[in-house]
Amino acid sequence: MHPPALDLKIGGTWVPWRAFAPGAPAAPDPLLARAIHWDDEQPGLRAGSFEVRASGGLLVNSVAIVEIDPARYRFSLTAAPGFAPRAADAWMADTAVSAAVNTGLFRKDGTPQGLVLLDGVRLGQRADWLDAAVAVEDGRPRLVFPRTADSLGAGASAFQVLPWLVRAGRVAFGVTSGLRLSRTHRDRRLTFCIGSDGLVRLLLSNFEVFGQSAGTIPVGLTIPEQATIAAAVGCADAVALDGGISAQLVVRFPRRVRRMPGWREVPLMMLIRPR
Amino acid sequence: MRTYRALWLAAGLCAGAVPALPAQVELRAIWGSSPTDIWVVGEAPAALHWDGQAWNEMPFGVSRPGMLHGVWASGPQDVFAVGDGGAVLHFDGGSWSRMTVPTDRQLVAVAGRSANDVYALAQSSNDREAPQLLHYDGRAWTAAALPLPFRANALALAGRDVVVAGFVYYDPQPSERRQVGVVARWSGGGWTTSGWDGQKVSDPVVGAAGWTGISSAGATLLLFGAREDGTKAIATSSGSAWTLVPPAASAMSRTQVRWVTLAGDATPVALYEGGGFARYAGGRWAVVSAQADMMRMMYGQQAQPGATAEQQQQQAAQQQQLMAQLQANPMLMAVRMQAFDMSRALAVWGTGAGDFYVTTGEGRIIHVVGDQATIAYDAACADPASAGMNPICQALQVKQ
Repeated sequence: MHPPALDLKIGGTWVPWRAFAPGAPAAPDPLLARAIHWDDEQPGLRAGSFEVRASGGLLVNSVAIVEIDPARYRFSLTAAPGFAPRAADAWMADTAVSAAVNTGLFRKDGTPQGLVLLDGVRLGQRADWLDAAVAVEDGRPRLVFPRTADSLGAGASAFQVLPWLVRAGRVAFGVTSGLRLSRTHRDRRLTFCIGSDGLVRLLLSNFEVFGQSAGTIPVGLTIPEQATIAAAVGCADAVALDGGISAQLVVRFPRRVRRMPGWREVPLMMLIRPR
Repeated sequence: MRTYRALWLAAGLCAGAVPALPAQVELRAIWGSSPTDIWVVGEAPAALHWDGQAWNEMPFGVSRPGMLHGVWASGPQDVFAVGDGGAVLHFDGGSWSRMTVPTDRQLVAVAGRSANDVYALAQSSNDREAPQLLHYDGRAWTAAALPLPFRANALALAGRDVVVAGFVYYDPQPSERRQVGVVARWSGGGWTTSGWDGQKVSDPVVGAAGWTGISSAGATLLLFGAREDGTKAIATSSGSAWTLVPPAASAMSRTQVRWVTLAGDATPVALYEGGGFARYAGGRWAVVSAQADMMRMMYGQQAQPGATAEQQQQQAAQQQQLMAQLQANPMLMAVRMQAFDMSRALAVWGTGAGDFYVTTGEGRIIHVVGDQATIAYDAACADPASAGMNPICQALQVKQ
């Protein structure tokens, strides 16, 4: 059975779009580009959102997108002492931080799952079931296999995640990655994407749910839908960060701070500062 | 004070295109102590009060941080509104004042039995904290933690019991995450929980969905929420056990249930995103859609069983009149469709399934009587400048 196609809201109208296609090439989709409303922008950093309709037209989700130029912004990995859990917003007290986003999965005791390298210091061992890693060297992120992350040079940072959504310009989920993950579970989904243009893009579905709203639950996209969108954004490589109630993203602009809070404090955070 | 008087939308609309309504204030909560004492709150700087004759704005006039999420009244001189930052506002019939409460958490709901027995639900700020139940005994608010951490979304009173509903996340395996519904019930002697016991799923019905709403009518309770795949779930209870209610199947394509609640007569009522609503009785849902409403207007209702010849004649005359109105005013159809739009419904209150109010995220209050919906209030009409351009406002008389 073919998965139902996603619809995009463009100019107030729902437009039939595309369905999950494992192995399909990733390239910027002009229809998606038209659906995105960019609300905040400054050199090297902009944020917006778009609306997507899933489940045969029944389920509407707002998706936030943040675009960062690593030539202008430096990425780093950080943790409070002892991996004490904190919310992304807490890290924004440092006004030099332009954005904060949560990272990978963690255990009940609050420690991160899998390999963690923090400025060259090893704080967690590699886990085989996590098949991707985010590596940061000289403030630039890239997506690598865990074995590569495990052998990074001095001063590098890295953490493990799963699954690959897009790998080397093709949809990897369901082909080479995430074969045992649910394809139907709907949740808030957080994507870390490195575009073919070199820009980093973060996407968070159902980003408003833990804001000012009461009486809501974090139903969002499936992983196939997340991968479909990642491919259409033009990711050369993309992975899923920890989603659900952990997913949180805060971005500072001169006129406001865009807060997309989660409901779980997390042990490891990626911070973005101007170079 | 502005006064808004609702008229049936069929009255005197001008022909022309329907302009898009501007984004409006969210009206998040509604409660009535009687059909002539109904209160609505949200992000507006005033509460709205229906006194049986008109909707009146009742400015808070006090510091009110963020959004108000709940309202409950024992009567026109005793109204409680709760919201962000631990805000509890009280109206004594003359003015609002802010009450002192032992929390600064977001208060998501309020309910009561009398002026001296009021409860408010305080959300936990993260998944390691338990939500709190606040109680007002007529003198002061006190707070007590619920027995386990979960995301508490809704509060209802059923007899002497207090019932709280929400959800919890847990990871059965490192790479698998599940969302499980939780219901906590205070029965005087202590709390009992179902759905989730802190370690595992303890009730397959309650645990099946994350619950966003709970409503009560007497001893009957209704839960409304969504499963992990996004499909909506409904469960009812008249005792300790919960039973899933069949899906509120829609007669309309490409739409789904926005909200389900118990009407005052314990009838489940479902609101559809695409417009219209349904009532659950006799083991099935009966849908009243915007399209069905239009068809009835255009082609008339079926003759009532046992109707006299005179009654049938009157009905035929009524149909002809409606048809004439439609032919003279094609915009009427579009406006009536708007009146049924429940896509941003946020709260429901009514005395029964045949008479209830719906508040929306666009700043509207929709009043459903029988099978007909009217716009009882529209915040867009509060501004006389935009009201003049808005055809819906033309169906309302606005008195400054």
